[in-house]
Amino acid sequence: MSTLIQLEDISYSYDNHPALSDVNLTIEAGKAYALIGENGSGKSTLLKIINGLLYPSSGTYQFMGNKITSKTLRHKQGSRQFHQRIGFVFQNPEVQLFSPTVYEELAFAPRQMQLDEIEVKQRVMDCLKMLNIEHLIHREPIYLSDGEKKRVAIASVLTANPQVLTLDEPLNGLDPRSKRFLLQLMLKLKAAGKTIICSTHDLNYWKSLFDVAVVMNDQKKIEKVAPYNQIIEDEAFLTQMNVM
Amino acid sequence: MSDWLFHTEDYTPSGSQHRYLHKSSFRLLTILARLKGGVIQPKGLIYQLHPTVKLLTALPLIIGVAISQSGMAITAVFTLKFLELSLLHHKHVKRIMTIGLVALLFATMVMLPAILFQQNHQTFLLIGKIITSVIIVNILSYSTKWRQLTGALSRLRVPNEVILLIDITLKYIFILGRIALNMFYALQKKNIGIDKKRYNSLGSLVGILFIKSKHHTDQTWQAMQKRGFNGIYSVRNRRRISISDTLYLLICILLITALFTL
Ligand SMILES: Nc1ncnc2c1ncn2[C@@H]1O[C@H](COP(=O)(O)OP(=O)(O)OP(=O)(O)O)[C@@H](O)[C@H]1O
Ligand SMILES: [Mg+2]
Repeated sequence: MSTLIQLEDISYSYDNHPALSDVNLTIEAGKAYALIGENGSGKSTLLKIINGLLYPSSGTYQFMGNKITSKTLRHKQGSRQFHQRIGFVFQNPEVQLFSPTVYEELAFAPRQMQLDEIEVKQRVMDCLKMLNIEHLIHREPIYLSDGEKKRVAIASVLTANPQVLTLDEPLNGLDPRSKRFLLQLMLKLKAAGKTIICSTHDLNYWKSLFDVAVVMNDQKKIEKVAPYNQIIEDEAFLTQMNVM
Repeated sequence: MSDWLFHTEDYTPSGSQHRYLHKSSFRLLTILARLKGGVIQPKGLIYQLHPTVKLLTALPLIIGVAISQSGMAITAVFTLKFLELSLLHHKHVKRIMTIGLVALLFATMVMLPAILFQQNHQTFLLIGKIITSVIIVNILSYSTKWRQLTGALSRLRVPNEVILLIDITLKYIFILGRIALNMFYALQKKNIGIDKKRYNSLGSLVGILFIKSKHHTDQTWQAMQKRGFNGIYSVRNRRRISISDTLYLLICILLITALFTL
């Protein structure tokens, strides 16, 4: 397996409020990672750093062997390529929908990639189908239900065909059928060779998907990185970490 | 699963882009599109007119209507716009008529004293002006695709500062409206009695409101970046000016001249 992401001694503070401390983590291509930890342990912050939306206060971040800093991402071409390779589904689907229709929302990324309209349409239709939301195609994203918004948000990230898919608590607010649906989708994406990094509080849902669990503690540090199935068996540990 | 998802994307962003739009104008139109509601794109003469022509004529028409003192010229503009309206999709007609009626009601209410006590030419002229401009704006916004409008705006080189100003205002009004409502509910639930504290909490509520909307806007901006947006927006499908565009333009120029001279 090749190393995709390498985080070394990463710390981050929001205006003197520490949110992440001394994080070391290696992400390998093609595997699925679960980010686990109590509220406020730094999961969302870590995902934002991995996505190049926040820059670490200290430490280094390498993506496919390239250092990611505010300087490297200021370069337009490099930044576009980086963002195409690693897609992000935000915790709050509301903030990431900004187009007048669902179709335009899904077409946004491939159009930015300068694909021709035929291919754009192809991708949009494929992703609508994959997320089972073909009927929403002409709707306005802001007037959808939360669960529908989430599906649209995921689809609109998939149309860029990222190699790495990062998701911040994607199960939040989904009904049981949608949860099962999402799990199946993630399994398919993983089978297609995508790397998945996903923060979650629903540990039992994902047994068949995740390879590795990354457990964060209340000190905003990584407590443990271990095989997922091994970690979720360890109830004492999970209780102590306040995630079960 | 579709084939293309199995392949690693072979994507090399192009370095140069000639036709582009600034992030602000792009966002402004996103909001406009949201505000207007409904995005049916039917076929028809008005929908097919060149977006730049529509935008270019709408602006001086509105200004002309605002400053003109000629009832005749305003009636002529109104007639043209009414004709255009009748060519739109029935759903759009319904929406624009509703908005027009609300504007009419509002204008009448505000000017009720004037209407009752000094029924003169001026009062009715003013009401006519309001209705006409409301209809002009709405026909433009309903008959033009959002992506076409971004293109038209970019070609017109609207000063960035102006767009930014409108953008931020609109964006904040929209977001603040939603958040404020939810926060007022929350505040009501907390059931704070009528005393000084209540005003304090109302004060801090307004403060929080701004921070929240800022936070919200930032995240939306991040989401756009994640999907490859870098403050520039590529515009496709340049359209040529057709005969109907020219005809329409001539009629509008005639009307605009009338508005400014009669
Ligand atoms: N924009 C911000 N400004 C200041 N502090 C923040 C901000 N966002 C997060 N924090 C703080 O950083 C810490 C980590 O937050 P983060 O959102 O990464 O946690 P999380 O693990 O995602 O939590 P949750 O499970 O609740 O989503 C928290 O202590 C939080 O209070
Ligand atoms: Mg979080």
